[in-house]
Amino acid sequence: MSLIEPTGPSAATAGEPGVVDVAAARPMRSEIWRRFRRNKLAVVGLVFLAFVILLAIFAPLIAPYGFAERPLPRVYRAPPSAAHWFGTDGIGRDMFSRVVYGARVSLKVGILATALSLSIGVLLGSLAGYFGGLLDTIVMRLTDVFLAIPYIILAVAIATLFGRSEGSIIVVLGLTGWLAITRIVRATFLSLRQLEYVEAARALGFSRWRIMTRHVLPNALQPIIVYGTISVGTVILSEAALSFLGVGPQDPTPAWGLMVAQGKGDLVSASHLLFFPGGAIFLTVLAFVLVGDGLRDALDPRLR
Amino acid sequence: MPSYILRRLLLLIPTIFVALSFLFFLFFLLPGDPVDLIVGGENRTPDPGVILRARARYGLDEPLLIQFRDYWSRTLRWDLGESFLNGRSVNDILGERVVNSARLSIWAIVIEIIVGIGVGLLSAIKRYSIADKLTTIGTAAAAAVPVFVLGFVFQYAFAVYPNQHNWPEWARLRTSRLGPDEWFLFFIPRGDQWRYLLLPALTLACVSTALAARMMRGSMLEVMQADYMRTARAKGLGERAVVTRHGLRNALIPVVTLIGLDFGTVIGAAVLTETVFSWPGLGFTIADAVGDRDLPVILGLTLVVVLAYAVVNLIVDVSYAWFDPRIRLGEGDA
Amino acid sequence: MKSRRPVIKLLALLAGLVLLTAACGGGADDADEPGGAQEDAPKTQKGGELVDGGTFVGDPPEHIDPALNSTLDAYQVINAMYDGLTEPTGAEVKPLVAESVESNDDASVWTFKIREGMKFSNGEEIKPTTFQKSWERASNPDFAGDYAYLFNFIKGGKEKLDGKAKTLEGVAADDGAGTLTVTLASPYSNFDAVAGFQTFFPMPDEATSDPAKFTAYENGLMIGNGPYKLEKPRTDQEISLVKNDTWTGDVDGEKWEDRLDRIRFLVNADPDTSYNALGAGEVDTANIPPARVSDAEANWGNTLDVAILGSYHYVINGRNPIIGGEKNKLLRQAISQAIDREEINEAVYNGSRTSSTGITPDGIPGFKEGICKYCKYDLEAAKKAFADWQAAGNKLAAPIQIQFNADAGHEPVVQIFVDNLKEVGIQAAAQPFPTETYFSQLADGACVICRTGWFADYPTYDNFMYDLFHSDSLDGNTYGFVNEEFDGLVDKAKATVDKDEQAKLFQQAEDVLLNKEIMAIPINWYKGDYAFDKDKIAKFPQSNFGLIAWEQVALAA
Repeated sequence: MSLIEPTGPSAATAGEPGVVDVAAARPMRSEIWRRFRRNKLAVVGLVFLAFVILLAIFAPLIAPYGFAERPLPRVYRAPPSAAHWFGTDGIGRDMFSRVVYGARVSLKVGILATALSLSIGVLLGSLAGYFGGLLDTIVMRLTDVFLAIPYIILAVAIATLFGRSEGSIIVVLGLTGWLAITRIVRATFLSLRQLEYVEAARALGFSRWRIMTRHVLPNALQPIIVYGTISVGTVILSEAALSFLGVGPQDPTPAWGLMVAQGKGDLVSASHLLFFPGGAIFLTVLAFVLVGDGLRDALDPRLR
Repeated sequence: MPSYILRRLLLLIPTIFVALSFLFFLFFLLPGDPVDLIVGGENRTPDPGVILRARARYGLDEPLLIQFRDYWSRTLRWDLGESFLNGRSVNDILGERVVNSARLSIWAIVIEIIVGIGVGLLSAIKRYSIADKLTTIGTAAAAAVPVFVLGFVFQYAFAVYPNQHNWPEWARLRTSRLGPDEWFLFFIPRGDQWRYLLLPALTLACVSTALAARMMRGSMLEVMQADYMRTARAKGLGERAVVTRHGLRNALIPVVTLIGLDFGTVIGAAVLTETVFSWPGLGFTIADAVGDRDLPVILGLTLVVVLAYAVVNLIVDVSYAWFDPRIRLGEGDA
Repeated sequence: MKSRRPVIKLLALLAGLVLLTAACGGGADDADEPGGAQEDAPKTQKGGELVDGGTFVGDPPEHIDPALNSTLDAYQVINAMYDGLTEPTGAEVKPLVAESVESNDDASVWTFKIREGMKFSNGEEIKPTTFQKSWERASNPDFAGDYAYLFNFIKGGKEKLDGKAKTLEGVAADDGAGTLTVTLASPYSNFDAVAGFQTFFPMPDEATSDPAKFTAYENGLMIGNGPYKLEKPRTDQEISLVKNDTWTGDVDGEKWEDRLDRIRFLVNADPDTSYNALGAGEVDTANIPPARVSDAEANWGNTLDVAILGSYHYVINGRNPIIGGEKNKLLRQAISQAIDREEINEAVYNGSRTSSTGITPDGIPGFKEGICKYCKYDLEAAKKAFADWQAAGNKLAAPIQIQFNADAGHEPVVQIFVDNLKEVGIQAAAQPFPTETYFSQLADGACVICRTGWFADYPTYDNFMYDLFHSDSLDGNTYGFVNEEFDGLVDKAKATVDKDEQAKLFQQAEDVLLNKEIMAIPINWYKGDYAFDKDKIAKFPQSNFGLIAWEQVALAA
């Protein structure tokens, strides 16, 4: 999987064990759930993610103030108190409210950017893997090209092109995150298309489209699901990295990454500005990784 | 083998050509005239006459395709031009930056190899032990902290705090910059140099080490269940011999791939680490240049990054043959 | 002059020459009272080395050639390396390399008598022709830097810059008589101050002789005539200066031998790293990020109490139908009165700045306190003005957009701004632009209410009024303030030789700008932002142009 430093999305490769080799039979759904449950860490992660999703959905009900609101009486950079559980920021906004609303932004960016990169990756990867030949060569050379260009250059350039909003961050991270998934899907397809049941389907005269979507793709789903889960966490980290470099979402957007980047100098003098949004990122990303781990083990029967 | 290497080298040519051409056009597509920035347009409205002169001086008044052709004919002669911003030769900038980047990445990779592979291996062998559980959580956690936060925390904990509390001199590290720039055999720090190197190297290595450990663990677990391992055990070989002689080599293949990819990206993409620690490497210079639309610097430095990336990965691929004699190079090229 | 510090990315066209600013006053005089030296006469150490981490925080310096530089941070280095013709200190302009400065009655012809025996650090003598050659170099259209337009002040300067003339017609040098005579394009009574600016610094023969080598000069071992000289060519990580032993300037009553032997300017990629490096004892000075102001006050020596001649303000696009024009004057008044400048100062800058009462800051000759009538926070008055404006049949169709360059520390200010306006009932929204294209977008008319800032270059009123708001000046046009009455007053003031008379005219002009037309919204005036290790540094004087008087810095014994 590709939980690399946000400055390099390239780590995920076809070499990942348990991700590529999907020739094994697909386990039943209940069986998967049973195995997933055995992994306590993954269950904890899943519960935490459910909690974050609830926060995101009910943010207006949970947060005492709006994310851009500066409640009276105004206190600046105040440490946590009964009135402000997470303290206040530099211009007197309630940090608890901002962190709660931040769940919305971070999940939205994480999920949509991942969806975008998965769509691109699955499309290119499956085309390349299934048809092979020239198409395959072109797609692979293309991923080589983009793996070789330092990803941050692309991210900064694209962010300049599309402006610096939530939407453009989604585009930026979506457009730079498809390389790994392309390779994974391609490798999976390469191994699958040789298999007997695909040969059989071909012999039966099914169309290529039908074979790809009905017979091959479902078998490639495991690595895609696992990669996608972890990728949401990676995107949330990358959002923080882009904010630090000054090309992330803009104030007053309550993005966790932005808050952390703004609080980078407050480690000692006003640590709550760094600690709470930073903690939110840390726990959420950790939860996505643990759930991803659990899913991988549950989906791949050979490991248990 | 030689023909394989030759073929791979030839394949580099289109990769590099497309990558740099893509960047070339991308930067003309971006909003904001590069000339505006050359003459200080990010801070004020420049004089129209100044803009015209600057445009002519840098050949930016030519049609795009002509500029593109000129760019390549210059690049082929390794004439990387001069920075738009301060007129320094890109070659000079490269010379300063490449060595720093290389030193930092070498150490980050060393940490990744030793700690990552070591921890992953132990964790796999002692599966279900407390140490294994801690590794699983610890590696996931290490990969969940924003890199720049980690860097600032390190700075405070290992440099600022010890200094303010008068810790003994040997326990104080440095927050930033290259330091005395004294090296033995190119990359081994001499004298005080290690104080400057340690924190950025750790920061840069943190995430990739965690990943390498996780991958090593998974890979090793998988290999240990493989048929040939069972065969080896059945032959009566001791567990230690099974692991080292048969398991390790095979399990290392995906990890080496990961590390190879890391090496390439670390050189050009350690932007965050380099910025936090003011380490004068390629990554943060490139990021700066992107912000300033300093085309010659972007393209010149990227060229080197792309080359380094390609060569390292070629070495990694060739090394497969050592790890697994069954792999015959030249078949397939993914 | 712009400062490239991430937090106060600012604009100003001219930068002040403050070579020995504090020195020339001979200690405690006027507004130049150095900020770092408030401790009672600390014991100082002879010589020594200072490691500076507070000057370059963000990017390495682009240019250190005086003819090319346009940033305040690089000017710190240039300032240490060069002496100019004059140096403006507070209320008056003192000759420096020049022995005397005179103008004719209408201030259209200026004669600089060059001091004899002045030398560059390589021994080359400085003569009137040295300046002439340096100016020809700086105004060479193939080379010209951002500030080359200053040659427009000189007769024939425009033609030279446009490539229509080979030489500057208005400049005549007579080495025999030791005089440099400058004929201006139009009368300008503050030219003596401008002549002390970096663009007009003397450059040695090796820099001026070969046009092909102009650009490369700053990347080699540049030679200057100031108190310090380059030890080795600059790199992107460090600029190292050592004492120029032959220098003979003023060192505030002490011996030149006793001053710093070496200054190392180290480049930081991030202001917080710079501050941490100070904490770790690696550097002796650092930049103070706004979030660390109280920490710096508690733990470090600092220049937070030094008033910097600079203004942080928002300007209004007069051509914009939503907010420009006579009929929207009440709306503009309401906006200006709605803004709680004290709160901005306290919340965003930790109280480290001064809320402004005008554009032109205290310390500029002719300054008048409280010139702006609507710059005081007055919620009731703002509500009333807004109600009156609505009563006249006006209404806002959409929230007013407030423009600023993103990620340069302005977000919180704009957030408070928006919040303040909401209390009056005016809907507003922040509109961030990328820093790279901010000013060109403004030039294309994107400005409604847009952020800008300005550091004074020399202490003249016109440096604020003319450069920012006159319709001839580029920035005035950008923001769309075009007003004949204002232009007339400024033009007249610029040509007025009598200082009192001149001050009155400038004040009238500012009154038109701020009270009659309400086309700018002053927010605050800057303060210094250096922190330094007071156990190590005894004296660290920062002038109110923001420049450190390096030749007066002394280490503690």
